Amino acid sequence: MIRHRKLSVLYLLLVLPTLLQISCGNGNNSQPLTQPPAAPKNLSAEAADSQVTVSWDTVIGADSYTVHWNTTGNVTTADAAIDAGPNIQLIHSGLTNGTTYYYRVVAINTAGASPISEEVFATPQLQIIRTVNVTWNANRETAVNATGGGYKVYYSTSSGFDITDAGVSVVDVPFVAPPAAPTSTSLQLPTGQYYFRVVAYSALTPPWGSNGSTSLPSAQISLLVP
Amino acid sequence: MARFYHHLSILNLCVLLIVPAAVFSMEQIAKVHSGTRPSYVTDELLVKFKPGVEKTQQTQSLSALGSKEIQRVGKKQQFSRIKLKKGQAMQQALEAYRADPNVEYVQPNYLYYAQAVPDDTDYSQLWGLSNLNGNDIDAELAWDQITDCSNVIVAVLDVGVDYTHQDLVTNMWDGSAAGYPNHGYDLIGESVYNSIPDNDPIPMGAVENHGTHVAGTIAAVGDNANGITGVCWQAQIMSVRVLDSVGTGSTLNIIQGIEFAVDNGAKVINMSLGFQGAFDTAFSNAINYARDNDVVVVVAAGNSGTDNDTTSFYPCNFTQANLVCVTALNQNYSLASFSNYGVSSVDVGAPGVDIFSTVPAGQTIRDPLTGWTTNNGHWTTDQCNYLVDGVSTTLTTLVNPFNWCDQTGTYVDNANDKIYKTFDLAGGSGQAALFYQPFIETEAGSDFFFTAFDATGGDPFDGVNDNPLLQFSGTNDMNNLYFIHDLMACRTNMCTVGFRLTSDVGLELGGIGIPIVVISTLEKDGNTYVTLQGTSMATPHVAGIAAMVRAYNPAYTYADTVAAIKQGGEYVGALDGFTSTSKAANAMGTQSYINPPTGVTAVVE
Repeated sequence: MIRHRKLSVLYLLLVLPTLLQISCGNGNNSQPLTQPPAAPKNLSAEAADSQVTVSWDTVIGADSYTVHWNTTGNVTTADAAIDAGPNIQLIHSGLTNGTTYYYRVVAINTAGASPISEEVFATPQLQIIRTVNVTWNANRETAVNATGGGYKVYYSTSSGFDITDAGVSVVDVPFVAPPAAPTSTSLQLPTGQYYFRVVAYSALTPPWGSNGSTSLPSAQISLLVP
Repeated sequence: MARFYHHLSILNLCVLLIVPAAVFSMEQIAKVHSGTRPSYVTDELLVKFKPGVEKTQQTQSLSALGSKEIQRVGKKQQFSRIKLKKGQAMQQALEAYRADPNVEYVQPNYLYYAQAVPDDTDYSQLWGLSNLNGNDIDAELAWDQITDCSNVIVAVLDVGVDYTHQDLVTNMWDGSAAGYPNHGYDLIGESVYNSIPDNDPIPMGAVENHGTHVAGTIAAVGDNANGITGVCWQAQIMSVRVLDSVGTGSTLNIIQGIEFAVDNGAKVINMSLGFQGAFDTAFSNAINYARDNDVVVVVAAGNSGTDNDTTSFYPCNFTQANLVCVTALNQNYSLASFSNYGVSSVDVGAPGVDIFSTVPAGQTIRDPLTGWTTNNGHWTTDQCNYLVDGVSTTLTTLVNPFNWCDQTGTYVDNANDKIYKTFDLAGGSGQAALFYQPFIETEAGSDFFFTAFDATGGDPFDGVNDNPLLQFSGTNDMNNLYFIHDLMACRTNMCTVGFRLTSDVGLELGGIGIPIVVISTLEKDGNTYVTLQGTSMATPHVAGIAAMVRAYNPAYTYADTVAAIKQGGEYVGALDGFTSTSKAANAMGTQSYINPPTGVTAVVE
């Protein structure tokens, strides 16, 4: 027992001077030591193909973050850790699609680690692109069904969109050969809720216009791509 | 002492004939297209290689410049039609080819556009179709695409159309197969003695010019080096006579006219007619019938200068989706002073002032009311005062009794009073008509007013060669009546026309005054034109546009057509607050209009 205690003393003797030296390096002890940061808030986890993106809000006074995770829930600091550095987002890749991953984050500074955050989870899935067939009735204008005529299919993830809105996608479906311009097109769309409008156009220009004419958009229709 | 006036209403139709209309003249130069159409095919060149350059060298040259030969053209196959590399600028490509020693010359594949201006001699007078200040329906732009509307039948429901007119004859509907060889149908009898529809919708004399004028605006033959052109250069005009010579037609006439037009394939009906009054259910049902058979009906807003939303004017105020109501614009594209309007009832404007168009040839002579023969002194001639449109006017008048003007006397008991005059109507080839506006006050059922003619001269009431035209008994108070009678059987050099008053013993009334007597002849194969104005003249511009857009888009429904006319019109500030669209009908705007696509579906495969 005595030998054991002796060893402890030795350890103290070796380490203490080092701590004292650091203390001396700070000049003096008039500035108090920094508090550990607060727990990160507003965590989110977004799944994609074989990966999950974990995001959180910046914590004031944090130097870096550690993300802990498991696949069973109730994550603790004892679970696997990933150093996110000073970033407030981590892309966790190489995951198994279909497995749910749970995450909590700890903020760290020189004074120590924050309490652990609330838990979030996400299940990575294979990204599915589906073929969507859009069809419409043929317009009865001769010029729509002739060279320079055709249709444009506009789509958006926002309901009630205007075809001139930013972020609206458009596919041109021009007249190719008689007797009529095509009245359908296929789109490759990832999972999500979509809204569509179709516009017809021709090469005929009204006297007060330029470069052809365009119809008003059709009524909007919606489609959930599963 | 209160002075009572006889109220004489001279209908527009007559006014326009009796007062020679000023002929509108305007220097007009073929409009230069200012559009944005490309002047050459944007991604093509025509290349000619120098003589002696081998095919292999040519191919090398082309591929070196990244182009592809898509066609070998020319009589000697000397030109290569070249498709440019995607994204290659025309100028850059031209320079590259010019630098190639194998190339003799290179040029863009220029595009040439038809300058669709017809060669009709009076084309320059048709300001409504095209003019330099831009207040027009832009017909020339539309004609670049289509001038021939003959796959669409346009029915003109009016006083008849002179289907022999040189500028209309080849554009008339041929109803022979259906049993209507006279290009339509006539629902109006020529007099009370001949009220049976006669299947011959030709106007009775040049006095009835309204329908012929309307037809010319829709589709007088274009580019025939004669007269005018309509909105359509070729068409099928079906004449359905539903109005008598003074522009009056009954509900029954008009309904039957609509049904005739619809049943015989008309896709556009022009009705430059209407009346201020109550909703007419039967008329409205006839518009429904047209709609249910996919027929567009274009109607006039009326010429009272009033608000149709306040004072209903039918058929303009009907609300069926196949109906377009048209008001008139002048050359400044302001609302014409006489135009009716209505922000909910009137749809579009169209040129309706100083409109030059076809009319029946012939003479319309207003008799001076001198030189008439009487069998006693009861008929005479006097100068009487009338209120014409609220203005006191003195007119020479045939009167019985002699003091009819003063309204102080009555005709005699047991009267048998005749007055007649002989006209030379010989030599004509077409119709002739007697038109007059009498005031009549006779004891109903006892005392009578008669009209008759005798083609051999002399007394038309003497029992020899008499041809009775009218027997009238009763009174029309202080307003005049209108009559028109067919004088076709009186086209001799001794055509006597006469009036007669008979009475019994008893009540005697104010008698007869006849201030206006017109003899009108119609000559076949005429080539006459006049300037008229009215919403009646605006309406056929729109009917022509309707026919044109239906001809250009054969699959068009009535709903497509009406939307294209209304939405494809030209915004005109003067129509703001006066029409539902604030637009003037425009041929090119209508032609280039595109209805929004329908029936959109999206499904996951």
